[in-house]
Amino acid sequence: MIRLVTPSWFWHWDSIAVLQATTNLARSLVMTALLLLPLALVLSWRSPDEALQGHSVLYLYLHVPAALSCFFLYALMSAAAVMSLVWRLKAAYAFCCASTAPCLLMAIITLSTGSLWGADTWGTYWIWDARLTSFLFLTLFLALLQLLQWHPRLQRTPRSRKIIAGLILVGLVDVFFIHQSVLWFKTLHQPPSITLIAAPTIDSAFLWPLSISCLFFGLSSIGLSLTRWIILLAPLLLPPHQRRKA
Amino acid sequence: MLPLKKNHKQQLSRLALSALALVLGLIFWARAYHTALDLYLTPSELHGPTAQNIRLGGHIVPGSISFTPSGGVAFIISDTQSQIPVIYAGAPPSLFQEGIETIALGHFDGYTFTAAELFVKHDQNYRTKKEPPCF
Repeated sequence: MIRLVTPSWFWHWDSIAVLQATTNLARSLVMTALLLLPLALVLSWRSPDEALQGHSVLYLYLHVPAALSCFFLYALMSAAAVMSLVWRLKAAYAFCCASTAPCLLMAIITLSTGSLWGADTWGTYWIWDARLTSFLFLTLFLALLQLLQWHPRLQRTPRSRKIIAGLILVGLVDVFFIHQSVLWFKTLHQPPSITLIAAPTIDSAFLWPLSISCLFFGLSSIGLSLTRWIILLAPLLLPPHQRRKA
Repeated sequence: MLPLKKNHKQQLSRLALSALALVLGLIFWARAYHTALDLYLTPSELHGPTAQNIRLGGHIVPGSISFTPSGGVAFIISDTQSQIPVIYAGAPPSLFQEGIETIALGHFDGYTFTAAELFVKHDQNYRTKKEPPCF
């Protein structure tokens, strides 16, 4: 997908050392996530029923972490897109390419669990309110980004990197809109329970499983992105005469 | 870590300026057109009968729910300023109860709102069953 011409495009550091450090980091992130998984499952299973929605509160431990991980990965992708646009770092562009699919996966998990949760509580799988529509738009946008990255005419040129990195930054507007949609407009989706300015409106009995689950989703999604990034950059670990033009 | 030369600074400031312009544009657009993106009207925003289907939303007035013999339900939706009685022929969603926020899709004849579909809103509060709900 990306041709890595010489190792000198990286920072001023030794690129092989950076790649090996990233490999270790990705390994420890995924291992920590795997250790957290049984804890998250047990805590969710033992969490009490919610006063109104009863058992359906279990969707909280999938829907919210998936949405947060999607935004987390999108923020990292945007930072990498800026580095790709301003400093022409191919490694940063490679991170954009590596994170698109995990971000899309998290968006799809968010949409599907949200839809099932809505059927249980709201009485409908889907409604075209501002929050749901803007999140569907983000999901389709991520799918478009992935398709563009696979497009044969958009390979290995500075112009294609500029187009895709620019599109990622334009998509940030929709991420901001998704966050604001429940505050600006009347929607079926409820406003956020956890904000920076006020105490969370979620009982601590639900908050514990939720935070462990968020950690699990966040760590595994960044672990997935880093692993894909390493695979894209792996040819660098080979001596120059063994490198294939990937 | 990363070099910050003159052209880098220029490009960064160009990116920041366009991001600022996009976000400000979005905020002004949303402030100007927010009623077009609202999902529902509240009882005080609904004036007179409506021809086509609209959505009406608000809290269900406590004590106003009555189940009809044919399996439907009648209740009053309120937004603290005004109230509108709603009739719904089907079975309401499982969270349907007094005090909860609900959204009805249907038409208004000036006196009653006849709902074809009924949705129940969940608020941002999550409580365990032991505490009594606070409405």
